[in-house]
Amino acid sequence: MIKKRKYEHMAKPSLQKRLKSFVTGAFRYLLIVCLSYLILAPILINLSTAFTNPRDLAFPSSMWIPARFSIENWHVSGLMLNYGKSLPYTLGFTAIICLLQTASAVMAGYTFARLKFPGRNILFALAIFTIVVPPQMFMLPQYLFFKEFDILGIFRAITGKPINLLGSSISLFILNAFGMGLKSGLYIYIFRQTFRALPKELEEAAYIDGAGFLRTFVSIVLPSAGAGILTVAVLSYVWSWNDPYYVQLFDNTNVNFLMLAFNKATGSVDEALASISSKVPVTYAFLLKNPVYESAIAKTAALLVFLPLVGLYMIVQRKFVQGVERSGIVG
Amino acid sequence: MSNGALETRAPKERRRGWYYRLGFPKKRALWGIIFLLPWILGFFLMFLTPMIEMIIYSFNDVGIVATGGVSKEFVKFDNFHQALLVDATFVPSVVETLFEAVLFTPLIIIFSLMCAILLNGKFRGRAVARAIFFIPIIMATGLMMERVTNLSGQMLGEGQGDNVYGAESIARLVMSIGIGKELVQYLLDAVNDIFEIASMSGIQILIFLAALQGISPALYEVAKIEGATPYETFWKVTVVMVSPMILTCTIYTLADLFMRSEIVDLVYTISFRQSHYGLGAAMSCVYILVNVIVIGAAAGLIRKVVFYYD
Repeated sequence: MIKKRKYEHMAKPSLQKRLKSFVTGAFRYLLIVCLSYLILAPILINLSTAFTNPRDLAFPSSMWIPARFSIENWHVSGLMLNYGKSLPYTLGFTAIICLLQTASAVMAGYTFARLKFPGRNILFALAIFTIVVPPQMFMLPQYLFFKEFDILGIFRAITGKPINLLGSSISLFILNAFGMGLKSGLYIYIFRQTFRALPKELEEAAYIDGAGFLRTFVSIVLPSAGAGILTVAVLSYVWSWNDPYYVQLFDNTNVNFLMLAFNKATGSVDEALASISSKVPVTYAFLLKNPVYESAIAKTAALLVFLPLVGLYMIVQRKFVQGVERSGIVG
Repeated sequence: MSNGALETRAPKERRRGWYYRLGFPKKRALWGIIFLLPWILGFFLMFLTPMIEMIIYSFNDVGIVATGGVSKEFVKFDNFHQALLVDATFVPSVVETLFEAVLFTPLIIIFSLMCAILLNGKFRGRAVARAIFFIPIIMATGLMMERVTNLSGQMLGEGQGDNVYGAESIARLVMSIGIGKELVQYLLDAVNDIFEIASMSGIQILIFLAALQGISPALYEVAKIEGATPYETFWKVTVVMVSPMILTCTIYTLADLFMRSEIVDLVYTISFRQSHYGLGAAMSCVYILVNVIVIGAAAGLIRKVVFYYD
């Protein structure tokens, strides 16, 4: 009697458990597949459009799988964005911004986490404040700041007039190097959390062994915060790549910056296509001014802007995801 | 001999300078100021000064002088009067932005926490799923895709832009069965909203995932030993332990939503296209104030229920 009950007790939950785990597993996969579809569908459908032969664009049958494959759209969009020149330029330009922004955020973040001095907490509160205020809100004063760039009247004293930095990438570099770039506040916050999570003993050991401050920072602190640095660098690169706002405001002649070229081209696909019409293959000339064709070209152009990031992301993806887990964003 | 050695050592000590005579905390404080100097300069020159200037502009009638600089004429509260009482678009836009923020923030937080929990477990294909779920971050707000979708919508006429998920054809099917048009439209909107929510949740998923990884397994073990059901464990361990991150994510989400609001475009149009710099500045001031109040209130409310482990 007792034995039997014991067996019942052991057998039943195991079946229940297995059923339960099967149901939760299936449910999890269902959710993940649905959400992945949600994220991927716009990209996939644009990809399919991009590979469709221009003559087949309006066919409903070639919505997901092109009736005839063609790379013609890529070719035309590439011409429209001046891709051969703008891609390498944007890669480099964004890298510089990313480097400056990450460097300034690392230094500020480390200070806010570890280096105590009077007034630090107030400054940190102000840094948080910069996250909260949309930077677009003081466009005009910032615009004028770079139009009449002058630090404490130094340039005015030397050359007699301030320097106009508008229309030059230097204004963007300055903004990022001084920790006021796009979402710099967020990066400072992430670094602060990262450094706070590092054990103090690491640095103390280095000091005891006779390393100076800079040496400790460069060869102990920075390497142990690698995960956080990777996280911020990826975010900074991606967001600078995608941000037309600052470039448009301070550096609007910079046609080689992909996002700006994209915005200009899609602002009026008509004009953009007309300007390269001499290079479009004659067979497709009848498609110019056709809205379906123009929308396909715009979609392909969007992919051209977006895909380099996917490539970069695929390279760092594994490290990035692990890094996020280890960076202690959470602190 | 020994005398000579002493003599040479003494000046050497002196030559090493004041830095070496500082105490350890003072050295670190000094380096702190040096490290923070770029940020401090940037903050005062490129953030605080523009902000103060903007506040000054908002009380003035501002024009750009051709020779450089701006002309200001003090008009008291005229700009604020114009922005709040006369302008037909500003106040409704602010209200709409606030409404959206109140509606979307909880949805984004719940959605991203759910995604993080989904991605946190061990299952086959986890690496792929994670790679996909972080794509919205590189699409950075999906802004570009949105633009393209809108663009093709404009070019091809109404409705076509929504057709990304094939929702339209399903909707037509459902409508033909005889279900009300309002309901269908509501569902269509919901599908589009889900995409918007997913595209805004990238960072939040990231933060929650990191938080979930940081929860000590010992806590779950204790819960199991004490006989807690998974439901109880979720509410009493998981949610409580990630609650500080709910605060962070809420602040970030609100700031993000505010940054994307149509008001930003409105201010840009009014200041740069129509050259009403004073009015634009007044609107900016009001908007920033609203932002800070809302985010402060949200932070204050959530802080009350947040649990800090240490």
